[in-house]
Amino acid sequence: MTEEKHIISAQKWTSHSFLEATMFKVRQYLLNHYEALRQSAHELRQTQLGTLLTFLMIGVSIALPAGLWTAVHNMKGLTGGLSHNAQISLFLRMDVSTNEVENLMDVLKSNRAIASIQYISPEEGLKEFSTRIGMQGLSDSLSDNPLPAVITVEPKLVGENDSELENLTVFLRNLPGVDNATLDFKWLKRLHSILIIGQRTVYALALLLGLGVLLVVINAIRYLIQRYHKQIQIYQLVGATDPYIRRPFIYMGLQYGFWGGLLAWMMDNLILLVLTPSVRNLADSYGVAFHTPYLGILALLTLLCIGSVLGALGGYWAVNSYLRQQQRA
Amino acid sequence: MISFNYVTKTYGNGFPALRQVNFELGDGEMAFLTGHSGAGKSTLLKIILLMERCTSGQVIVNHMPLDKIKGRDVAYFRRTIGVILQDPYLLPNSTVHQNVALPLVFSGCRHQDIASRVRAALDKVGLLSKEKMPIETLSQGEQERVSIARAIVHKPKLLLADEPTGNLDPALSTEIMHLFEQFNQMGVTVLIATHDLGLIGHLRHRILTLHQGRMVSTGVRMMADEELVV
Repeated sequence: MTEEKHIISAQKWTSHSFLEATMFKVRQYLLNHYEALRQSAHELRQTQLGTLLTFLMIGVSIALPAGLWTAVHNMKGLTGGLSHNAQISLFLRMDVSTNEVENLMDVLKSNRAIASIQYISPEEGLKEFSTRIGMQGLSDSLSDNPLPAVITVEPKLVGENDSELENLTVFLRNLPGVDNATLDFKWLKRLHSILIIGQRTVYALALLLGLGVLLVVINAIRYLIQRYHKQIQIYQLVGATDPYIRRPFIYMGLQYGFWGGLLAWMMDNLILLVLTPSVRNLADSYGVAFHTPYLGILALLTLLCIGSVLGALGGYWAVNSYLRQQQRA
Repeated sequence: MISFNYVTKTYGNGFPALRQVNFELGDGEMAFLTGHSGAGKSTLLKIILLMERCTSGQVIVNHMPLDKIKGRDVAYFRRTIGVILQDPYLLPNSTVHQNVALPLVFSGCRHQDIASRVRAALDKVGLLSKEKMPIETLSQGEQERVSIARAIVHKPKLLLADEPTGNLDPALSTEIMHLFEQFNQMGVTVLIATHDLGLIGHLRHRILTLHQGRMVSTGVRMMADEELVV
């Protein structure tokens, strides 16, 4: 019985001491990280101008692809709106009768691919045309109205599937009483193609500038490592492990990237603030709704994450290559 | 404690720093490593510290063959050794306490233990009153003693010193040597590289003499004469 008690007490003691040791190790680990973060922040404060310049370089490198991405994204939104509002104009024959028009309207209304239709008589068309070109008395000066009746058709098909819209146009063109049907869609397709190229360019640019951020961080950290060369030697001499030596430099890189990301977000929003009124005017002239494209919290978090990860990677790479170099020497 | 078996070290430029060096230093022993400048003293210490790897031969320190210690384990190995260099290698922007505490911090000691052990080490070298002072405010001799305190604070079994009195005046040098003898009397193995024969002349310890990379004697100097008992 006594022996059992001893065993139980020993087990309790073992599990307790194991827990205590684990807790101590975790606490020590976190303390080491906190200390490295504090040390790196202190170092960045020491070299204010150099640090600020590095922040700006990283900020610009991140702001450029982020800004371009926002621009392309918004343009895609605009063209998406255009394709959604795509209209097919049916120009009727000049000699079409009222009965034929009514029959045609019935056929169009019953078509499931069509959302709405609007009939514009030749008189209404001429009036609108006169107003647009600023010649109010044009209808009076013409003996005959040269314009045909037009039915504008708004399809239900939504944007991405161009061939369906084209098929619908062909179908409408062959209806009785219709002289011609036009879907002014080619320029929109070209714009889509340009935007796809733009999007891919943004990806390539993001990759290149991401590499640029990495190189800027590596360069900055290498400079700092040179300054701390002797301190690193001392640390190594008295038993500091490589992770211990690496840690402050990784945190420095992380902070470079973090603040660079924040600056990028601010720069992009500033540019958007300046550009928004002009873009809104342009969108209004096309009759497209334009929403304010500012980079929000999600974009901020994304930029901070991208910047921090790139910075930390750069810091790791710089200090690791230094340690490897030392080992080789 | 230390065993060198036919150790050769040739640097990348072809310069042979050590040639077929053989010697042994037992546990709790104290020895001086002497020789002219360029004889290979520092290289020998660097090999023990794993700052350099030998080209051929075998080195065993504290029963561990050094060639078996991998790169990531070097730091843990160094924690078992106390090192003192001619340049004290102290952190200039830190206090005496912070410098001495370094080996304990790296070993993951508890905060309370660090404080008491740092004070004990500083007490041994007579610098307890200067614990909170910045390193820059200390004299060269005091900085050397801080370096010694840092080397002994984690109670290593082996103490290595490379020209520890190189920048000090004779009185301070003698004082430092007495400190090393005290540590040795506590059971610490001590190996000191020095070219100051005058300083070690009256100390009765083994003298390992290097000449152009070769170990030419591993004996004990009897007195101030040149005769060695091998």
